[in-house]
This record gives sequence, C-alpha cells and structure tokens, in this order.
Amino acid sequence: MKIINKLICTLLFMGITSCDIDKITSLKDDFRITVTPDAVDNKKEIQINNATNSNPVTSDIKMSISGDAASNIYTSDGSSSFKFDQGKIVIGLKKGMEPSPENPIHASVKVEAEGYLSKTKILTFDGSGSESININLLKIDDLPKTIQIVEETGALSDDETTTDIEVSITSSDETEELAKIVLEAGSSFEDNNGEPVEGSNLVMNIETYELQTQIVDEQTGYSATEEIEEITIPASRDDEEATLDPFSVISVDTTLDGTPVNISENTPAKVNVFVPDDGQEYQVFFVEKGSNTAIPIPSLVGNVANRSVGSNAFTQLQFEAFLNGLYFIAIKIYQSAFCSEDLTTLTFSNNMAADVYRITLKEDGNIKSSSNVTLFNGEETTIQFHPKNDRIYSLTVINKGKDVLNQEIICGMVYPTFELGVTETASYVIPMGITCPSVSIALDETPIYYKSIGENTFYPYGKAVAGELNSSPKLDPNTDYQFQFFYEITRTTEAILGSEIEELIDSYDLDEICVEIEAEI
Amino acid sequence: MKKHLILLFLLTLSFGMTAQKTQEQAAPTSSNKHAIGLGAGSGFALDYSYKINNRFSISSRFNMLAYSVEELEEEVDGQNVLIDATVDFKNIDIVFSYYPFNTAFRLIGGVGYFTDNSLNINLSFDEKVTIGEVDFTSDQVGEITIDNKWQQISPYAGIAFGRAVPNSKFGFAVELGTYFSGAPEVSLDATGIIENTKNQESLLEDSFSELKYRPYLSLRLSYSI
Repeated sequence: MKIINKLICTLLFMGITSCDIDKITSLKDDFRITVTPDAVDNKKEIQINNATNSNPVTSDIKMSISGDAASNIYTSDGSSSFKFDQGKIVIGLKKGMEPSPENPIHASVKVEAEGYLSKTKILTFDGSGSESININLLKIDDLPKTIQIVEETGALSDDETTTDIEVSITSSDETEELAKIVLEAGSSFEDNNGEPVEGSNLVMNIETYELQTQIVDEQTGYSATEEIEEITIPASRDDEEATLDPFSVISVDTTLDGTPVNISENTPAKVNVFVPDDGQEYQVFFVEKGSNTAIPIPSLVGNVANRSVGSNAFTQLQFEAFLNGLYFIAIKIYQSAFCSEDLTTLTFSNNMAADVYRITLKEDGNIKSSSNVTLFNGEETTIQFHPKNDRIYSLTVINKGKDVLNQEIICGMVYPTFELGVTETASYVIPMGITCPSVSIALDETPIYYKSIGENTFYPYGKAVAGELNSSPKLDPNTDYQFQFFYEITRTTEAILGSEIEELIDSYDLDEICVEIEAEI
Repeated sequence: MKKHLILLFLLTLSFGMTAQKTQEQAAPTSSNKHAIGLGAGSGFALDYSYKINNRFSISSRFNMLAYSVEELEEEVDGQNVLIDATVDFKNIDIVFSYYPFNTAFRLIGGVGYFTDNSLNINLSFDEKVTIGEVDFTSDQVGEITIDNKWQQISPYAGIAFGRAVPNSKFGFAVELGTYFSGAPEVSLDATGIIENTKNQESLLEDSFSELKYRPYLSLRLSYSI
C-alpha cells in the first residue's frame, strides 16, 4: 500500500511536469515579426495610358498632389518623389491614417506628360482597400477633332495687357461657337493668394472638349466624360428636381512668364459659352480642376447672363469671370421629371478571378459614364445616376473585347447586383511572403498582373493580401506566362510554365532571395 | 534538467513523508472541525476547510493571481521590443483532501471555477521604424497583442504537507498542485506596419498548447475555529 501511495504521488507530479517546456522557451527565438515593406495603405495603383491606343505612357510623367492629405501621400516604398515606371505608380496614404466611407479623404492629382494634355483627377481614399486606376491622356499631336486647343499670347506693360486678347473656339462641325474669351487691354493678374503678379509674357491656353467625343478602343474606350468628375449639385430651393448635365467642358490656363496666374478680380474676362436653343432653362457653374463641387456662376461674378426678357430660351450665355486657371464646365439644369425620386444604383461584382471591365452607361445613345474598372475577386463597384423619364439608358460591360453584359436600364427598376466574373479561378493559394533570417516580408494589398508570352498586355492576376494570393485565374499548364507587380519599379518575372505556378515558391532558392531582400532593406 | 530536479525533489519528499508519518502516527487526533486559511505562493488564497473525518476534509477557497510587468526590454526576432504582460487568474475551488497515511500528508482533488483566467502579452517597438522617407514612431509602428484564455472549469489535483484543519489552533501547510486547464485559446492581433505578424498565430497556438497544466504552489497558514 505504501508503495502504491508513493507511486501515485510520483506519477502525479511526473504528469504535472510533463509539458514540453522547450516549446515555450524557444518561442522567443522562433517568433517572427513581419514588417510590411509598404509605407502606405489605401493604395491607388495608377496606370497612365495613351487614350488613343491604351499603351502605357512612357515619356517623363510628372504628378503633383494637392489637398489636405497631400503631405501624407507616398509611394509604396515611402517616397514623396513620384516616379513612374512604364506609366505606372503605386501611391497611398501613410499607414495609420484611417479614412472610411463616412469620412473619406480626397486628394487631387495632376498628371502631366510631355506631348500629352495634362489631366487632373480626384482620388478618394475611403478605407476600402487598394484600387487600380487607369488615367487616359490625350496625345496633343493626335487629338480627335472634337477636342481643341487654342493658345494666344500677349505682352504686358506695367503688369497690364496692352491689347485685347481674344480666344474663340468653334465646334468641330463648325456649327456652334463653343467658347469665346476676351481679356481686354488693361487686364492684370494675381497669384492664388490674390497678390498682384508682375511679368511681361502672357500665354492663355484654352482647351475645349465636346462631350460626344469618343475614341473607339477596346481597352481604353476613351470618352470625354472622363474629363469631368462626378459633380455635387449645390443645394438650391428652386432646383429640387433638377440635375446638372454638363454640355461644355472648357479648360483655361493662364501663365505669366511661365507661372500659372489668375485673372484679377478688377479686370474679369468676358466669357461667352454656347447654350443649345432647346427651350430649356440653363445655369452655369464653375468646377475647379481637381474638385467635385460645382460653384454657381452668380456667386463668382456680377454680370451673369443676357437672357432674353420673358423667355427661357437663349442661345448664348455671357458673363464676366475671374478665370482662375482652373477647369470651367458649363452645365445646364435639366427640368424634365425624373422617373424616380431615388438615385438608381447599379452594382457590379466579381466572384471569379480578377479582370478589367469596361463599364459604359449610355443615355439616348450618348455616353453618360464610361470607365475601365479592375475588379479583383470578391470586389464590387457601383454607378449611381438619376434617370429621367424621357430618356433611354443602356448598360454595356465589355471584358477583353467581349460583351459580358448588355442591359437596358428601365426607370424606377431596382436591379440586383450584376455578377461580371468570367474567368475561372485556380484552387490553390500562392504564398506571397518570405521569412528570411533578419526580416519577414509579406506582400499586402498588392495587385499582381500576368500575360501569356504571346500577348502584349498584362491583365490582373490577383491581389496579394497579407502574404497570400487567392482566387487567381486558372492557367493553361502548357503556356508560358510572365508576372508583374509594382514596388518602386515594375518587376516582371521570367517566363514560367502555367503548370509550375503552384510549386513556384518551392522551386526558388530562398536563401538567394533573402540575400537580395536584405541587401535592398 | 528542470524535470529531473523536480522529480528528485518529489522522491525526496516521498521518502521524507514516510519518515514523518512514523512520528505523527503517535500524535493525538483533534476535535477541531473548522479552519480558515491564508495562503501565498502562486498568488494569494483565502479558504475555509471542514474536517469530515480523520481521512477526509473538504475545503472551499478563493485564489487570486494578478501580476503585470510593463515595458520589459527584450529582443525578439532582431527587433528591440517592449513587453507588457498581465496575468489575471481568479478562481473559486472546491477540493477534497485525503490523508492516505494518517499523517499531515494529503492528496487533494477538486475542481476550480475561474472567473478570470487570462495571460495577455503586448509587444511594442522601442524605436522608430523608417520606410523610405516615412518615419513611423514607436506608437505608429503598431503593437502585437497575444491573448491566452483557458477554460473556466478545471479539475485540480495536488499534494500538501500540513492539515487542512490543524490539530492545534494554528497550522502550516505547503501545497503543490496543478489545474488541468487544457490548452489555452490563443489569439494574436497585430496592428500598424507589423500587422502581418498575425501569421504567427499557429506558432503561438502550438507553443502555448503545452500550457495545459497550471501549477499551483501555496504556503498556507491556517487557524482552527
């Protein structure tokens, strides 16, 4: 009995101490802290393409960012110097900033490339993850007739123009005067702070975009509606049932000795814009470049319009404006009844492998909105608009030249989410992280692109999230593919056989990769 | 090595116990039935014990172990980190003591109900981290939070030297035991630029799965009432 008791005691304590202490003590050595290589979140992968042929713009691209968040926008590798590689760059908000759909952060980016018209676009950071953005630039030598540039120069004496400077632009079919801007002799100029600016050589550059402009290209499908940001309608008691409908896009840039200037408040320019004589009542708004808020002209100028007394119909609107070197969009108020009080929302999802879709909404055959949208697996995008009773709307979605969706949109209908996915997914998960002796790195919110050797264009392959890439497209096992992602520069792999993708990571010499990574860090 | 030392210690105790038994067999039995005790060791304990007979007694006790360390400097994976750790165990036990040798040595078995049973570890960076031109202060780098939580009800087994209800007015006991708590539920969270450290959760689960037995050590002073 004594022996049994002793045995029980001994066994009890052997059990107590039987845990593998080594596992606990070695935890400190085994635990890996993974530091992201990204300085930013809410990434925007911006691809600059030639609007006419969808090729990447390879000339020297300059991008400037303005807005409250500008100082917190960097490239993925933490640089505030925005260098494009093959027309591509990835920027984002410094990690730690947390925008949300309710509290988004906006920034305005201006993209300039030699030989192309510059373009300003608003970026919205709303915490919804990375976004691929295509910006189409128009080549100045190859402009469609419906996009015109006119440049006038003038000399200044005592910081005032010595003669009238007049710029007139007529529509491509020469039936309408799109815009006439007159700077009278004696005009002076100010900087953005309202301070007078001295100089002698004035250049006034006017660009007009006729909104029916379309460039039929499978990839870009450019339309001049891209030049207009979605516009917030100012609250107005009288315009409760009105919507803003752009009919003329004019960009005015004035420089004095090469420096952008504004026309002085004391010597406003005289501006004439064409308004269709269709019996509708019009009002004109300014929209600053890089802004999505329309400012009613009456709040900017004293002498608004020369509307005929007792009539809503007129063909030309004349006003004086302190052109501030920013976009000017004339907009009419459309007074037909809407088919519904509510905005029509069209939602598109992709539950298959990543793809690029051209989503175009037409109103009476004219493009109302059109854009290339990259949807990775599980992502959604929406279009919102306010349809009118007497218009016909059609929606088309094209993927790699093929119609994915062709749908008439009927007023007042609520549409279910349109599933656009067409590309089958592979069943495997590809690791996108590596653990080296001194650092562990995982790609996060990083789009990966691919193309078969025979193709010219890279297509989205998937998005690496937290070091893993899921739901990639099923590849042909007998075809060679190249893969690409952007980090500081565009990094492209050698050709890899489709059947070898799954085992790709295992086949690499991780030691060699670690040496390279550690050297870069 | 640690295991061997503990085993040696136990064997020594077992032999010592046999020797002690011979001396205590002659000790008169007491009519004391109730006792309260205060313990300290792997926490603080307060208990009440009732002697059922010379072989058995039952005890109800409250144990508390709340301990924290802050800003302990360590190097983990080549990074200088500050570690905050908090242990918070509070439990109420019902245990039976069995005196197999008619001495002060007893075997104890019972069950503990844990109102709190967590071990939280927080790692933060000691220095700023720079990616390109962007500096992340130690706050902005983010932190790693490891939470371990055990099951609420755990069986308990132990041994003690010293009676639950002392024969005289005061008594002293040493108790060593363990709660069989099962592997803890481990959660790992990481924020900021070290967010992807979340991928270490399986390693933690594997390592902490060894913490199935929660040791209990108490030096107890009792008073019979």
